[in-house]
Amino acid sequence: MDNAVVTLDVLHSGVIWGWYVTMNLWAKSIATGVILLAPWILRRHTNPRLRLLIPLIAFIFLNITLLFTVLDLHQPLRFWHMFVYPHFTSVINLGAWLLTAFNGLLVVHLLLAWKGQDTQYRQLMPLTWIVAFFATIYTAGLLGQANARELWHAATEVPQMLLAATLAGSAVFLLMRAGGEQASTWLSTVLGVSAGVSLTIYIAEVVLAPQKSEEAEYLIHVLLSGDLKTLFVGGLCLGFAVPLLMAWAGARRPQPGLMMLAGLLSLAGLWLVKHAWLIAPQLIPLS
Amino acid sequence: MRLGFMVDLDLCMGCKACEVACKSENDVPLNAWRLRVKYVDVGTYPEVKRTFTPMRCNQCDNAPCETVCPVGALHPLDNGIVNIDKDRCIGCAACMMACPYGALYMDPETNTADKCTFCAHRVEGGLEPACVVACPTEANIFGDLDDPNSKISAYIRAHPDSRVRKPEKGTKPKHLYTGGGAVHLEPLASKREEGMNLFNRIGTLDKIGGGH
Repeated sequence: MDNAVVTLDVLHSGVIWGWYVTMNLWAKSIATGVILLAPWILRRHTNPRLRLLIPLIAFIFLNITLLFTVLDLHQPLRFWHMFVYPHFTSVINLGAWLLTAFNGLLVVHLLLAWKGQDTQYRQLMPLTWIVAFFATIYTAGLLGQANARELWHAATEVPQMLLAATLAGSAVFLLMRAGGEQASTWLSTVLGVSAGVSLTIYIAEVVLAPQKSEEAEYLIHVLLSGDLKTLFVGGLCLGFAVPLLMAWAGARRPQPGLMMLAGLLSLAGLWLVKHAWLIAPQLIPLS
Repeated sequence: MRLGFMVDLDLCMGCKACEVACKSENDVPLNAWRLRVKYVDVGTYPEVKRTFTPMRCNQCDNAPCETVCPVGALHPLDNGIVNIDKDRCIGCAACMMACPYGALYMDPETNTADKCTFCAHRVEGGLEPACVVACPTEANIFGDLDDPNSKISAYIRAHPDSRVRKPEKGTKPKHLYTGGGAVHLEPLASKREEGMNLFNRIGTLDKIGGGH
């Protein structure tokens, strides 16, 4: 209503879940992404160094995820309440158990790789892969429980989380030049497909689909032409569209330098897009 | 027993006595509110009127804050009130993401989430919530929704336009409103113009909103 103006209210609480949570989402995509792609990379490349590096990278980024999760708490020293007062209707709580299990499995993988116990390493990988899969998608459930934030309720959140993981995982492997030339072509394809499908879903969801509520319409405006357009549209171009084109070239003829750049851009763009997606629904008044 | 609230928007005159009573009763710190009265000016000069909407926690039957809380700090009481255990809260703010009414806040002194509890401590002792007692026009009606003889049940029967905020969210609020119009209850039905509010220079504390 154009002629209705709020003249007295409490200050809007602003962005509560800020870049710490974005770091959580971004780092978790890398941690789970490298594990989701690990069986295929290891099949192409049997270098024992890679057997150690894969769980090490996942472990480092998973703990970056956990660090930012704890730092984002207003009572970080009470983090242990998650485990002694578990509330299992909360996806956050389920996620805490899942990430802890994932961390434990990664430590076991590191030990097995360190000791050169390849058979046990291979036997454990399916379980780690399954845990990584659920660690990737549980965040979609978490966002779905945020009843106040309609933007996060899209049915495509689960595939977007998986695509973010495969995008980030392939980007990291390309930056490491893991698996040699043959793997590089395959990784370029994974990166390109992840970027392309994810970009298509974003466009379909944000640009093409009719919005069902005034709130959703407003949020789309914020993302495409409002305060977050630089972050969101810039992130989509930088992290998805440009790497897609680079991957197209890289998949046809191995170009390690170009694909390293594509990996770097993907990781940067992924952060920007996730951040915009996270803060957009927090910008509107709820009451 | 399902304790609920009804606000008669035609009776509220925006005196904010309820806000003050709530602040005082519950020691609500500066820059935080369990209950607030929103002013919206409607119309074009000289045909202008000011509307007043008291807002507090809706004590939903299907409370998303309770579901999402990872440590069970938010929990339902037998009388339908959604209470909070501040000693258990870890301050993850998931409840603030989940509540579609913006009813929760992060207490800047304890760094834990907090909200209106319909003055559960007073109710336990047989008293009405502080805001109900303070209201000079009896715009706040409090009572047991399950009891057909309660004042609130009678008020709901007498006011068929009784409604809740955002029914589409499926939260089943126990806080109803009667009277007023769309601008009272729908946040996007009114504009928020920067620099046009009565209090413009209120800032957020570091840890709340924009701190990180």
